[in-house]
Amino acid sequence: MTPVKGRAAPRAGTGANFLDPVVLQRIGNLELVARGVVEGFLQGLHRSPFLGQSLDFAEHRPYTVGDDPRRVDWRVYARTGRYYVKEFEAETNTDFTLLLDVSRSMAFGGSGITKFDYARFLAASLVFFARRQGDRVGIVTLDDRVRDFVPCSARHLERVLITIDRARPDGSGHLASALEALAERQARAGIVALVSDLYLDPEELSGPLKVLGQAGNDVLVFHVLDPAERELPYDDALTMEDLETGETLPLQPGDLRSEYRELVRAHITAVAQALAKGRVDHLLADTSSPLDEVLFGYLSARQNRKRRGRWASPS
Amino acid sequence: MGLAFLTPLFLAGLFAVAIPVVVHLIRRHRGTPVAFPSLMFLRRLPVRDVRRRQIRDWPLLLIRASAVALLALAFARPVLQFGEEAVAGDEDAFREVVVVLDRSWSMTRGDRWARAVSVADSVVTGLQSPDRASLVLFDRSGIVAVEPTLEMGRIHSVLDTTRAGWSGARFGAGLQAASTVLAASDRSRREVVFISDFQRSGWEQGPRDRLPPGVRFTPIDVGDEERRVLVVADVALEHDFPDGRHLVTPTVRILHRGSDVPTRGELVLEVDGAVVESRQIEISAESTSVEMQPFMLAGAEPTLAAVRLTPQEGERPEAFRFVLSPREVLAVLLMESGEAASFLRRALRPGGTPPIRLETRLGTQGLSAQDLEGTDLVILHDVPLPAGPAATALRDHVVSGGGLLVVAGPGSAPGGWASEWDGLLPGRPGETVTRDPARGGSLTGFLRDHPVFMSFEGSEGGSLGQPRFFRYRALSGGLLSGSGSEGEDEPTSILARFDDGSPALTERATGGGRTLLWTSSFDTEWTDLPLQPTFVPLVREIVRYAGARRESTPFVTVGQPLDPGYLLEAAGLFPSSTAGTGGGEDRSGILTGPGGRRIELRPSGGPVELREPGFYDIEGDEGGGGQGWSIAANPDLGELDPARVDPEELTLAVQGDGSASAEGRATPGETSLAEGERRQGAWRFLLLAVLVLLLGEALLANRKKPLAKQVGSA
Repeated sequence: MTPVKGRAAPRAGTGANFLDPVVLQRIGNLELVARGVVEGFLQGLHRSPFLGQSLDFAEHRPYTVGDDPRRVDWRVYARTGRYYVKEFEAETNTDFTLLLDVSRSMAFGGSGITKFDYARFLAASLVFFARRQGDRVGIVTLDDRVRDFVPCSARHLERVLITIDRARPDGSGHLASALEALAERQARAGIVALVSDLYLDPEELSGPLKVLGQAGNDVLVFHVLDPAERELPYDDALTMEDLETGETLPLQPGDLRSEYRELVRAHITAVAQALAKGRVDHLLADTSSPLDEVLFGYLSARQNRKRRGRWASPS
Repeated sequence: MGLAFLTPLFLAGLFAVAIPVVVHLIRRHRGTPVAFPSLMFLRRLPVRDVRRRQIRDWPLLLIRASAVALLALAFARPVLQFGEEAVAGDEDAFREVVVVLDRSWSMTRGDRWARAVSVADSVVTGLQSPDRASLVLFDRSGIVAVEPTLEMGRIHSVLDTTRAGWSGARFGAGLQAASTVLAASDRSRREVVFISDFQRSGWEQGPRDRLPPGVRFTPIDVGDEERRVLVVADVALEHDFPDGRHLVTPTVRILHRGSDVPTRGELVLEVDGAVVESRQIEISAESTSVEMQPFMLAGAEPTLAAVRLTPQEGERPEAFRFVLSPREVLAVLLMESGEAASFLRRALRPGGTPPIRLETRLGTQGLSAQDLEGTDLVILHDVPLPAGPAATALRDHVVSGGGLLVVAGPGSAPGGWASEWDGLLPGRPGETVTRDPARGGSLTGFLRDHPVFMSFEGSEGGSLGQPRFFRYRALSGGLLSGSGSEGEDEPTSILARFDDGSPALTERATGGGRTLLWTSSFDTEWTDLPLQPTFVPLVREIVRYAGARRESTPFVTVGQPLDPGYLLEAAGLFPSSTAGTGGGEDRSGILTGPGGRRIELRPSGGPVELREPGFYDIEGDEGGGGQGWSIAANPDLGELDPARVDPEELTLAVQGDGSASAEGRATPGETSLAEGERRQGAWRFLLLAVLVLLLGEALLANRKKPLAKQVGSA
């Protein structure tokens, strides 16, 4: 799946600059980054309706005239003799679990920002956006195993952002085993978003994700790629070093460029096709693209999935 | 305009131009690997041999190759040359070599000359084109036989035809000629190759006998062990005039060196080509003097004489030549009273130079013109001044070119003063001046450049100031007045004074002759002068001058510079009485050497140098005037001196400024330095161009690879 077309035109005003990942990189506060991205995104987008009706208890407050008598907590009245009503913090109907790839290949960046930074901003924005919609948010950082796990909760936004902020790309890129373990532990259906550069076999990737999807999760994959690793823009003879394995390879990039591009395109296509078979959405996130483009693609994918779900469900 | 290089070896650095080309072709990988997310796709692609890459970035390659080439050129120190210099390419980096060859008489001994020529040929042959060479030949004087040239064949041909001469050696002459050549050279590497037998007699360093700074001096010694020397070193001539005849007795001094064994030889005296005497002689181990039989001179023509020594061992005979002539003899008529002139007679005895034939006469009575015939000088020693015919005869004698010396002693009785003496005497002798008997007076105030006192120059008059004069006559009237009749006479000159200012010796020229007046005496009555060592030389100088005779020698040395005026005067072509008056300026003569070589003699011309031993004839150039003359030239006996100078000593002396390096690397002179620096400044511009190219290369290289920036791990 390619990035959403037709939204490439930059928007005027400060909001457009604020969505530039290179500019966002200069902001140290990840929450502020995510808030800015989402608010800026929403300013250019009609507010979408809340999805779901679930309520989470937040606190008790004294009863006042006009309150619905049905919200009086009679247990508290029995213990204290006073009337209190229950306050519910927000309305939620799903868990939003973010899977962040922290393998070493994510450390690459050829155009001012590394893939990992871009992935962090994207992850934070998605979490913030989900939380703004009332979803419960959690995060899993993983490489060849699960590194950090924050379960979904309406109160875990800060923990999730801290986890994202502290994550470092220093693991292996074989995500399959970690995803399989995660699929086994996933107890409650929700939204699962994987942010990764996907340097692994498409079939190995699609297996665990298919399991997650069969468990009732809506699975999305954000395929983060740098333009340099798609285009191979080098001219001079050089030695390349694999960030994950440390392997080196002397070569003449200029002579291999076209064949390399073809291989990369074939890989992206193969990943997308493999994920599609498991009803997993594949979103290509180019690190040179503004984050709102990716967010818009995310929303589009969500709406498409709902339409597919209605059509697929028996009437 | 041409281009040369001071350090052409650095041009080998041009091969480094290949380095950028090879690097471009090989495309060696960077030292630091470029990080990349994964090589999973690249590993699937076929590996290609990067050595076969074609050049992709021609501008970058050209910039890098140009920078390397310019760097090599800058280190090679290019030198710009203009005009003729450019013809020979990098000429300035080559040498200016002056071959200085000794051709003095000593070089004829053994095979020295052949070896010297061979060495010179080898030196010239060993030069590299375009080294420039020149040839200087020297003995007592130096000449540039071949000006600086690139054609070595010219030097070879001159060496083939040059022979060593008979003159002595003076190293300074060769060095000065070489310095002249080197001073005109603009090359930085300058050398002098000095080929000689290094006889000590040739080296007497003068202030100009140094080479210019930075010149390498290479001495080449072709001398060998000194062989036996057996030559006629000198001939002393004793003149005697018995019975009106002129007898000459030669005494031959034979030099025998290099052997401790006495030897024998045949000594032959030839006069005008005829053998006068021949005898076998014993020659001791050092030197031997042999007095030959006297022979008589007759007539007015010069007599050519030679002494030949033929050694017993069959060595080649050596001749010693000399010329004699009756005209050399100064005829003096001494008129005295009694024996008062005994000191004077002894001072004027025949020996010495010039030979003096002395006649004496008591008093002046009866003196006639016939008595003065053939007389060069009349001396009136302490006799009264004659009057009448005697005075007239004396006056005529002076006017016709004769000399007159008046010694105004106590017997001169200057009371009378005949009119014939007007304009003749340089002053009227008067009353006697008596000085302190204990201290007396002394001579002061000489005309140091006068011929009479010229030989005393250097003694500061000390020797002439020693004699004490207790009495002398004061002069009055006619002194310095030039009162001669009809304006023909020259004014009177005071040649010497006593310490009280009174004249001691005065001179007056009248007609062709001159009169000198000595106001004291030449005996011990008024002065102790006759007892002083200066008496004899002073008297002989006065007599020689008053008799109008210049010093002449029976022979000269080959290579000795001779005044053409002297030669013309000796030949009667340029009388000394006309010297300086312009009367003899138009007279010239021809000097004909033993080989028939003719040299024109002009009074105002430069010195004449006789190049070979033998007899030389002097004649008027148009056959008119003069009586003809001959002179004899003998080899320089200083060449027989076996002592030698160490070539290293000579090297240190001529390079005494220490500017020459031990390796002989030349340092240009002050002017050459500035000029050389100006011409060698191109390397700065080349380095600047290299810097500009490297900056351009950096900009171009960085502009072409913005996306190829290396990415480190986060």
